[in-house]
Formats: sequence, C-alpha cells, structure tokens
Amino acid sequence: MFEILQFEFMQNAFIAALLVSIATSIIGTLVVVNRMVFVAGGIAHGSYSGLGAAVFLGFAPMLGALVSAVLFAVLIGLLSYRSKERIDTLIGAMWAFGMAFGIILLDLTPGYNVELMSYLFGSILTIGNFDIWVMAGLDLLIVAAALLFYKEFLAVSFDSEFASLQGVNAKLFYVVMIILIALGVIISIQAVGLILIISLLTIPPFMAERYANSLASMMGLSFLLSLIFMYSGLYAAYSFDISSGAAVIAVASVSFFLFLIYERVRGSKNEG
Amino acid sequence: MNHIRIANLGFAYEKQPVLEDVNLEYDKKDFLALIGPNGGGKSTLLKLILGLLKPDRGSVRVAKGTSLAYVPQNTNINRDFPIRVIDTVLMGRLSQKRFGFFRKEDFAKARKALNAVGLEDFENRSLAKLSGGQRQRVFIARALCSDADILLLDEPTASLDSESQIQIYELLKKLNKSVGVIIVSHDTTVLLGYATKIAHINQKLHLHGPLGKKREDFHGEHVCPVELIHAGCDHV
Repeated sequence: MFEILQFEFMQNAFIAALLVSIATSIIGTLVVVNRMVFVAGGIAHGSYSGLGAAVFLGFAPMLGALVSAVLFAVLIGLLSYRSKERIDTLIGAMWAFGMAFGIILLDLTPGYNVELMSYLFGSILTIGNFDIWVMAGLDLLIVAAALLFYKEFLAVSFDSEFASLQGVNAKLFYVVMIILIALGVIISIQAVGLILIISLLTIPPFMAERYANSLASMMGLSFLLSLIFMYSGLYAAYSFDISSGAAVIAVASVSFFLFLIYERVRGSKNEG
Repeated sequence: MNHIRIANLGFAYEKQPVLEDVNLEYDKKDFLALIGPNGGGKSTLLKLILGLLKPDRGSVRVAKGTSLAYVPQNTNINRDFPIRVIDTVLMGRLSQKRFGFFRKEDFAKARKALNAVGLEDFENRSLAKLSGGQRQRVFIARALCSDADILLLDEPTASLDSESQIQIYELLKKLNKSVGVIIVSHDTTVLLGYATKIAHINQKLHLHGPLGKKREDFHGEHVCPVELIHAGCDHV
C-alpha cells in the first residue's frame, strides 16, 4: 500500500490532500452552518472568469482565479448581508457568467485548451512544489483567521442580529467569512476541480454536524472525514487508474449515502 | 426615573406606516408588555428601542449608563446549530471587545447567568438537544450575561407549551426585581398576571396601567386564565 508514496507526484498529492482538508473543513463548516452552499458554488464558478482572463493575459491561472474569487466574495458579501434570501438570482447569474466568460477567454487564447478540463475536475496528481507552498500559505491565513476571530465568526453565524447589538461589526465579519470561503475554494480547485468542490465543502461538515457540539469540534471532525475521503480516493485513483478528483468525490458521496441510510435506520429504531 | 423615553415616534416600512406618534416612558422597575395584533408594530417598536431600526420621526432616548439586551424570537435561530449552552451565553460578553478568546471572568459571568435562569447544570449540554423552554432560558441568560439593565424580549413564549410559558413568566418576574423587562407577546391572558404595565400597539400606542403595586389585586379581579390553572395558580 505504501509503495505509491515512492513517486514524488504522489507525495505531493498526499500533502496537497492534507492542505485541502484543512481548508475545506474550516470553510465547509462555516458554509454549512450559514447555509451558504450556493454562495460557495457561485464564487467557485465565478472565479473561472478570472482564470480565463489570467490565461488570456499571460498570468498564472490560479492568481487570476484567486483575485476574481475574492472580488466576487466581497460583492456577494455586501449585497447579501441584508437580504440573504434575495441573493440567489444574482449568484446564479454570476455562476453562469463566470463559466461563460472563462471559456470564451480560453477559446480566444491561441493554442490553449489543454488545462480547461483540469480546472473543472481537478488535477491533484500534477500539483507542483510551488502550488503546495501557495496552498500552505492560504491555509495558514484561513487557520489564523479562524483562531483569532473564532468567537466573532461563531456569533455572526449563530445570531448576527444579537452579535451586532453586542458591538460586533457583523457586516465586516460576514464579508470576511465569505472572503475566507473564496480562499478555501481556490485551495480546493486544483485538487478536486470547480465542479466537485461543493461536495468536499458540504459532505464532511454535514456528517460532522450531527455529532459536534461546537463549531470547533465540527471543524475537527470534518477534517478527519475529509482526510479519509481524500486519501482513500487517491489510493483508489492510483489502484484503478481513474481520475483522482472523481475518485475522491465518489468515496465521499458513497460514504454520505451510507451515512444517511445509517441515520435513517438508527432514527426509526429509536422511535420504535 | 425614566430609563427609556420615546417621544412622537413614527416609523414606516417603504411608506407603509407602522407606528405613528408613539409616546412612552419606561422605568426599569416595570414589567412592560407590548401587545397588539400581528403587524401592529410591536416587534418594530422593540427594534427601534434597541437601535436596530432608525426612527423616521421623533426619538427614542435611553438614559445614560442604561444598557439594553435583546432576546430574539427563538424560532429565528437555526435549531441544529452545533453549539454548547455555555458558548451561547458567552455571546453576551462580546461587548467587552476583547481580542481572541473569552477569559475566566467571562466564564464566571456566564455561569452566574445560567444560575439565574436555573440551568447551572446545563453548561456543557448541546443547545440543539434542549427543549424550547430551556432554549429560551439560555437566550435570557445570554442577555443577562451582558450586564444589561433592561431585557427586551420578542415573543419569548411563542411555540412553548403552557407550563413552559408560565416558567418563563415566573422567571422574568423574578428577574424584574433587578432588571427591567419589556416583552412583546400574544398571550394576553397570561401576561395580565405578570405585567405591571401593558401597552397596546396598533400603529398607535395606548398605555394601560400603571398597575404597579396593584399587580396582585389586578390579577385577583380577573378570572384565573386557563393556562394558570394548569400550572397551579395560587391566587384563587
């Protein structure tokens, strides 16, 4: 089993999986308790426009994705703070715009169409040392923010009205939280890709929420789950020669459905 | 002394008038109930007092050094949120504006507040697993924890069974010895036994009372409400 670690690209993939799990467990927990799955999806897909623009202009693709994701995060944060229900149309439009604009820009870039698929479905097996450092840096930022502002994020997520009456700048922390979501999305794009990102942000925290009694324990538990999904997915991808991103998500979703069945059975037993 | 003074207050949601020419003086020794029909402006008045909304006309003045704390409607908060009781109460300490984590003295205050609402053994319990009445008491503890002088509660007994309703009212009556209580409510029958002042709000405000010392007499004049009999009404 451990022979797969003799390849450098596999070592990198396992390190990247660890870094992705750190980001998605913290961010995913905030996404799930704040019911912001659609926001995360909008940012992820919207960021494709920045990726396309960066390729077109000759910058690093991930830099473009990062900048546009943060811009979209600020935009969504400011517009949705007051009326969280009314934001879905705007996010839907942004979602589609990002994809369309990104694809068009890639089309217009001469001789460039190879990596399109890799950003859609992820390419954790081709992650280089530089990417790993960037991911580690973003991770550090997310972990630091989560530690320093834990009580504020908790208060704003739980009851932002009460938090603001207590003098917490609820709007600021709400926007910062969405920016962190954007960073988490960017970290995960290379590993699982735009399309599958949502499952990694939602499945582990959803399962963890049932057994956690605090945001911190929910984050910790979803980190473990996420790591298990990533590592077994990677191992499956290597063993059966299948796409890594899809393999990770397959493991996660199958576990998720088994978990739901288990919960259902346990629930009906308790009632009976 | 008047801790809250409201003068000629007017408020409209997008030109739809909600409150007109509201005048009210409130002293924190009073247990004030805001009653009235749905959409009559009760909750809006509460939010104006708290400063969550800004008045279109007139003014809301809160006496210097008087701090308010809000107990929102229980139903507005995500029931499954993973949080312990003590962490919920600690949110009342956010106004201290300290950087990083809560301190020992914050925990001490939170435990004292839990004690005041009779939930001292619940601090490590998961909020999601508590009953509606217990949850409501946690939210009252959270408000107390902020060293508030006046508690403002929005329908604290909504969706509670009558026994838990009485427990909440009894608790508020007890707390009213040291803090002010302003409560928005539907169940007027039960409130009659507890409120010392009642403001009926339907765009305009009509104040009934002061019932003041006559609280018990006032209660005696009325037929004991059904809910009170259920909880063992000792006044009849």
